[in-house]
Amino acid sequence: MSHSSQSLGHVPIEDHSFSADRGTLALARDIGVELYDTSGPKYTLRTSLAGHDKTVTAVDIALQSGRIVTCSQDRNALVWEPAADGTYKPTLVLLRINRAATFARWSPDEKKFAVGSGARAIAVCYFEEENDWWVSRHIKKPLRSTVLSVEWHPNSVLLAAGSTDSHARVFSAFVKDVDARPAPTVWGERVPFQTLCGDFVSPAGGWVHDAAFSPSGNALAFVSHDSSVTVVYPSGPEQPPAAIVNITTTMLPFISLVWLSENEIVAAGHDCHPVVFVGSDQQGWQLDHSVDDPLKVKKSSGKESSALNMFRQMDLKGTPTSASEDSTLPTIHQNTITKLRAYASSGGRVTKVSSTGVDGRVVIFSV
Amino acid sequence: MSQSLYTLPPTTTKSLRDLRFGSARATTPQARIYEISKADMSIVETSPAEVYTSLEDLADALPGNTPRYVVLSYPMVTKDGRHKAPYVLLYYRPVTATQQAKMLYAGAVEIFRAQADVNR
Repeated sequence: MSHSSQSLGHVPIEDHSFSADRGTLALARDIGVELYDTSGPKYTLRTSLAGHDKTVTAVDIALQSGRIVTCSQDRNALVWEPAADGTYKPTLVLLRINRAATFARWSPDEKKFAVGSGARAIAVCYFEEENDWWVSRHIKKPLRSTVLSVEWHPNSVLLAAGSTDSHARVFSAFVKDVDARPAPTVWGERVPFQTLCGDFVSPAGGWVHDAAFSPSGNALAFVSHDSSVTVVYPSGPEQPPAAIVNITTTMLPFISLVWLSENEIVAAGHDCHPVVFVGSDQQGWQLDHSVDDPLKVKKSSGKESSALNMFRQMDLKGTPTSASEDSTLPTIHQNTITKLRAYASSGGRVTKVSSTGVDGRVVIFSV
Repeated sequence: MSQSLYTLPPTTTKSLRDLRFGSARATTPQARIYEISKADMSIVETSPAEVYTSLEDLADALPGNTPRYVVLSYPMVTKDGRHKAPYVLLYYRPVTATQQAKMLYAGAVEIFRAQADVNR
């Protein structure tokens, strides 16, 4: 159970993405994107991609083609093409939104990418050969507020979107010219663009920070600001779902989640450490264990914990515990974890997840 | 003005004339789609040249991201029972088209309108 951690400055990291061979790490920080070389014990900065005027909110590296998509609060998205000499050439994508872009992800087949925005719309962008540029189509209809996250279904047609109007929705992002007709799924059979295939709320409400499909695509999990994780098992198109399981926790809300397998989910957020949930549609879900558990960290021995000492500390410093114990958190991350992504998998199960957060650290947890 | 960028080959004028006279007695909508060919800036009918007789077929045939000109004759019955068949030019301009394409088609629309001799 070893976790490797890299502290790369103190600027909060909005999003991160590893390349397919895990040799390159892209970090979205402030108004630029930094590409790090991950070979070696310490990550070294390779290049910096500057092209946005405001905070970059998402970065995603397409695993096969190596293209990077970034989106930012300046209402733009850029697609960076790698050139032979290691530099990247940006192409502007006109998203036609009039508010910040919040999230961007490539589809699994890498022909499209989806950008969530504060303009109550999701822009699904694809490359049009005829005009030689990226075109965006908007999904607007039932969205009532900012979209916080968009994640693709393995068939590259369905999209799960979490939004600040407390709903997690499943849309179809089928583009006639780019996608082949998808096989029927439990979410729907004929799914033209912008079809709403599912709309779910957690019992206590609260912003849906992240929503993701299971590896097979037959279940949807989302985390919301009421500190709960909800797993939805649909039974068929146009029918009520077979099961909606909601796990409430007494922890602080989660911001990001990753499916480890069909029966395991890892979520992380304001508690600064990941937590694993285990379950299934038959037996229900429960919280299994915490990774990097702060309660298990041994208190630094060597300090007498006598009452005399405690009062002496209070007299001297104003707090009963000494400053060094108090000012750092017992977890590896010192601030909220904002993004979790699958890092390594073996045997059909994700074994490592990478996480970044507001404290500027990149940590790879073994789960 | 100096000579214009766009040319109207005789095939287009003929196809426009055929549509105009052919649709006089038709009972279904008749439409043809025209585009500007990038090679020589001429306004030609999209190949395969065909007359669309239903609006659904027309909608399917129009591209999602580039402008086109559609000349349409639409027979209809008005509220008071008269038969009318307005002959119109549709300047189809999707919002996702490139700026370059929009400018190209905007320049030619007047010329094409004059040639097609539509009512509006």
